[in-house]
Amino acid sequence: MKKLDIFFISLFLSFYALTQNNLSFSGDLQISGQTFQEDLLIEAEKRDPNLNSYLNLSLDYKNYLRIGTRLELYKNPIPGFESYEGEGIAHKFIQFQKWNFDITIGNFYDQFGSGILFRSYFDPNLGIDNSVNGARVKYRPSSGIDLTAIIGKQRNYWELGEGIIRGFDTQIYLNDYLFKKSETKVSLGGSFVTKYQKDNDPFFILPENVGAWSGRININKGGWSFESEYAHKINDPSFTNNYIYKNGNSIIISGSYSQKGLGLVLSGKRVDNMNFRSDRDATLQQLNINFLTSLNKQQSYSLATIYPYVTQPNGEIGIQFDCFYKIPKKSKLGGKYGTELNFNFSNCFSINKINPTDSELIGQPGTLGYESNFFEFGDEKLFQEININIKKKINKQLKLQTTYINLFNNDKFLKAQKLLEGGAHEKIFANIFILESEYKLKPRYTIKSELQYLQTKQHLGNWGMGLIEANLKNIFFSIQDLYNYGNPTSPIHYYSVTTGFIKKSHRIELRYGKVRAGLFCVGGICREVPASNGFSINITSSF
Amino acid sequence: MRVLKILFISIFFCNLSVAQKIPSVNIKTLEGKTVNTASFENNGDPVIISFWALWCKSCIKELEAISEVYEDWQDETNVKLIAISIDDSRNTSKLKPFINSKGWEYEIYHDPNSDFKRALGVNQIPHTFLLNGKMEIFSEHVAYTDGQEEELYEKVKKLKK
Repeated sequence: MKKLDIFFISLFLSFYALTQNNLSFSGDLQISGQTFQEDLLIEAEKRDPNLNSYLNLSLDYKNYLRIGTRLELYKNPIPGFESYEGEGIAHKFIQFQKWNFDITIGNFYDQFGSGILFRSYFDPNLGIDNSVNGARVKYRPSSGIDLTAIIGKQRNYWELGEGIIRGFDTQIYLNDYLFKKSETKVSLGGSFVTKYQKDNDPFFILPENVGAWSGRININKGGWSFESEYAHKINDPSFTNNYIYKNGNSIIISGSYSQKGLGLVLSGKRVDNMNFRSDRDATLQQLNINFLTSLNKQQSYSLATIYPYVTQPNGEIGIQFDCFYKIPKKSKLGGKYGTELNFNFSNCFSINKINPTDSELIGQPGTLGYESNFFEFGDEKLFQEININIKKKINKQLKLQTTYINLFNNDKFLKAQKLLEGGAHEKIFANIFILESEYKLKPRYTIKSELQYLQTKQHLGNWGMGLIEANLKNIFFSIQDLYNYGNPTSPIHYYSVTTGFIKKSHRIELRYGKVRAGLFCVGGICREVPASNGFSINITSSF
Repeated sequence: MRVLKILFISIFFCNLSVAQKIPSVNIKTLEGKTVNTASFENNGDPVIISFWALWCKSCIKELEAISEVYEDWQDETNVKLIAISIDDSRNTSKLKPFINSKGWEYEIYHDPNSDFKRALGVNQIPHTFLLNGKMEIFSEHVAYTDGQEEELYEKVKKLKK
């Protein structure tokens, strides 16, 4: 363990000893372990058991001073997480809050606006921790104005990335100053972020300082809202964009209207060469400075997550529409309890790209790459999804929910799905039907079931899925089978049984079964999960 | 295995800890205004803090169930529910329309980068806290099964005595 870490732990403990009476202590932990048996049918390899765990601890003195740390331990991580192997203090900070100041030294997470320029966050399931290690000062000169300045290097597994990030953000809630009595509420924001990394490239002269800025607005009046953010970045040749010198930009716009029983939202976004990392050679989910999310519905049913959309930071343009409607209680269609409907539509296209000059190819390294007409869609449709969901309470005991999804995933272009032997990436069209029911035996005793069906002529073919889950106060038990009966090689069952126990804020789960290989995604940010067969344990606790 | 040793030492310490006040963190209203969690109050009456997200089905189930009896709860105990959405920017614009369509009468905030969630040591949602009138944590639970809101309300009534 490094000297600095020992120093930090002693500081942590002495702080505790000195201030015990006015102190609050809190933390949380997660321990996950898994065994891996060989299973040729699903292409699961035999592997040594793994263990991923972390423990967050935080001491807080009267809300003025906070010291926090996270210990992490990884043994035999699964492919994609190998670089996390090891143990140690992965996160440590001291935070001071008083007189409208909020100062943090050490590791911190933060987000400017919607994150299209800067977001550092922790998602252990995706293996993302791009915390900034350095200093952050937040200052609120008066109500409604928030200023933030940051400097530091990002976490890269057990080390720090090479680049230095500097950033400044300001957020103003206008109605605290102008139009105080107006029903229209306006807030404005702006950010500036730069990164510095030395140029050691033998071929190209690369910019060592890359600057980027963004502006945002949020307007609300009664049931109406409008929000938008635009970001711009100067040339930033990197591994991800194939070393082109083009500027980047991104915009998100959304408008909504809602009243009791009805909500409508329309959003659009465009991303053009906006991958922004603190090391130009970083790949995958490494050292991202900004956060480009996808505009489509976040799926939770297992068959609906087989063909997810993967965000394209080099260029995409798309829209999303959502309608939430509740047919009133005691009406003809609504029945005694009312009926809830949700309709969601989203699609995404590539952006328009034109040769900058006749002699250069689109995206050729060392050139401007391409020119793009802002308002024109590209030739390729990447993704489209239609979701219809109906939710109905039948009586005091029974609730039903049904979902239909129509999906198009252009894997020929995205190349995100696992290839079958002798197969090629193709355009995938699928229909998914889901029926979920929940029956209440008595308070806190419920039986849930799910039936899912996925129909497609491409890739792995058709799937069926069934699940039964019993919640008996603090104990839960479930059994499920994902059956890929349309698999071109041979039909495959992925069955699993799960049981667990929950008490207050502690939860333990044991599971045995098979996991399919595929993409695990949260908001278009994905990682590949290999197939596996074995036991797993998952403990989470918060105290 | 030094990490494990530290883990045990810390668990020992946590048993000694005193009533935990909610930490001071900046979060946002649905209109984009910054609010500090240290300013939460309910005139000395209990407060429920519920962490949820649009993709979390059991969270929404819990909030739905409470919403059906919320008026009675408020009349009887003055309890206030504060719902904290931890949705990231992907779902920000859907929050207000979704909530309005549900007709929820809660005080609702957005914690877009999970700062408040982290400060309270929440690792999975739904995670619900019950605070006493001094805004100290009285009890907490994770997960939700149908009917669990009745147990929560028993605790609220206990706090009111």
